[in-house]
Amino acid sequence: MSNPLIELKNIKKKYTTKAGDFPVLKGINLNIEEGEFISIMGKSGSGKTTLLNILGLLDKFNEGEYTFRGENISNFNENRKSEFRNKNMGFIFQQFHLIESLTVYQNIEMPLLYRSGETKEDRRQKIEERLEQVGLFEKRDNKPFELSGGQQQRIAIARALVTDPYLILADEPTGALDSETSDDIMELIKKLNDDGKTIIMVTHDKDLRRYTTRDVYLKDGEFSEEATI
Amino acid sequence: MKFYNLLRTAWYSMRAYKLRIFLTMIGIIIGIASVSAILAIGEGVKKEATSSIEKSNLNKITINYNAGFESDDVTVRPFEKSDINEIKKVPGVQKIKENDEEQIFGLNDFEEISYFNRHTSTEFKKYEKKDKDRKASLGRNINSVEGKSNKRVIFLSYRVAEELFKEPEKALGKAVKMKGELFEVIGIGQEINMGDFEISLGNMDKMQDDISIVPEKAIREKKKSEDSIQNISIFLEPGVDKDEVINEVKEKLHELHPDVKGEYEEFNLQEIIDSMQKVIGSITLFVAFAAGISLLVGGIGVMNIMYVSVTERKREIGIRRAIGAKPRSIMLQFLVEAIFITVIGGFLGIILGYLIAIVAGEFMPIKPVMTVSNFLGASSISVITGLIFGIVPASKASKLDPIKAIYK
Repeated sequence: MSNPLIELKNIKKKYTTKAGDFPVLKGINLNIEEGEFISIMGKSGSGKTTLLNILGLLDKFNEGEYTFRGENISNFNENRKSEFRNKNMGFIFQQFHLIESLTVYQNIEMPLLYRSGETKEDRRQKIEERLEQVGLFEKRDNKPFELSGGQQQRIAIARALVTDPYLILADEPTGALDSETSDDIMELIKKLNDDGKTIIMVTHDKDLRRYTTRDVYLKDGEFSEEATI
Repeated sequence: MKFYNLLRTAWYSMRAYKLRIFLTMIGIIIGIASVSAILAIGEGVKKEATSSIEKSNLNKITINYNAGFESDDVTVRPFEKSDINEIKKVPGVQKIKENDEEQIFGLNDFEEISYFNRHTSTEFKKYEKKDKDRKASLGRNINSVEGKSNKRVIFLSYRVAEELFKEPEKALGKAVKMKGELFEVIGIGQEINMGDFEISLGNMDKMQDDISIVPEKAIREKKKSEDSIQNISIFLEPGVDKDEVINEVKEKLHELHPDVKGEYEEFNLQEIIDSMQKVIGSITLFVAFAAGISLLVGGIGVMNIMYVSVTERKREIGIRRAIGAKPRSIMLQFLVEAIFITVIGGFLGIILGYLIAIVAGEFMPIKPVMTVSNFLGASSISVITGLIFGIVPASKASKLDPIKAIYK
């Protein structure tokens, strides 16, 4: 494919407060090819999470253009954004964000329920496949609180994968885990990338660079050289 | 999201907060229970009232003449003696009775009765065979020989005797005046206690004791002296089409009286029943509406708990939005949860309300009736309650910004 998976052109975002405008992103240009594993690095307040949320269509931006697989998605309304997220993106959060009242199986099933045309059997197949992939098949009927942090994050990864999206967005995926578990999770994510998934990860942990294919550095809402961080 | 999955999702989240949901449900249960209990009792009253009227003769129809705007012409005689034989020929007519009094209720006549300067009114009727078993509390009943005669004797109702003579026993042997004639009091009926709870809709038969009786011909003589017929009563053969017979009778009357410009109108017991049912129905509705106020309180409870739920589950809402739930799906999820509470509560309330009505029926002379329409009505009220009180919290949930919801 000639087009990059993602093209950001001059993305600007500011928060308007009583004290005046407060710019968070000051004109970001970024192209991401399919199959890349990119980390967005920077200090707290650098705007990296905001950028990730914009990439995931969760946050709005004031200026600029966002193209996904050749399609300009800058002006989608909430309904189209929701559909688009469901179809093309999977999210992994620092705090796992599983729904406590549902079982592991039901948590993974959730994204599939928000699309039409899947039979119960279709869903079961996909869910079980992902459960095998993250190695927690036997935990499918447990509730999230019965699992360790690392296990919960694996379930969250399975949930992100179950719709077979083009893009995985990970916000500090190891931020709440000890170093050993972190390594397991990163190996798992790396493996996804090896299988062809495009992954964008926000982190401030420089050690994670060994898993990625490319790193970008954000400082005060602009890309900068690594050394300046 | 498919409706089934929506239900499933709502069910899972409700299961997670069982106690809270149940407590909220109590408000709805009480509201729906009181509404459906009142509806069931009202329906029972309606049925009881109808059946006690139906005990009197439903096949009797009285036809009146309404002169309308042309009423200036007082010489018009809408009914003639000769009509009777003609109308008898109409198929379906069993018997005809001419009346010289304007009849209102179609049961028995009321007449003023006096003893010197004391006056009261009494319901009275002519002696019939079935009256021979009537028990007298004082004196004696009219015997069957007297009954057929024109003897001016009267069997007084206890109430009338009391009102005219203070002490009923003093009435025996005295002459009372009715329709301008004097009648000798030979007996007094059974005392009936008007304060007795039993004498209500449930026991209209007993009211029949509050009646005075005169021999058959004692009155007829008088009737003969007046030749104008005010209306006629038609007794129908059982099983005939009432309206058809009435129409034919009316046509016949118009045929026989081509000169009258007014209308012949039937006075139908069925109409009384209908209008009575209407009155009871609207009273029931009004009371049910008043009881429905408790439903309002229950509904606000649901709204409150849904607000708490939306606030507590902000993160869940954010996650669902992130993985692809549309705002509408979120709204439906919370709306379905609210409706779930009110529908389950409503269902339990209907059962409870019916049980309350049955227990209440044990202490009242009526039997509560749960109709399908009342059941459906109460069910839809509970759905509507859920909708009304769930929509505001649900739409709040759907409008949450996913970012704020997740990172809160």
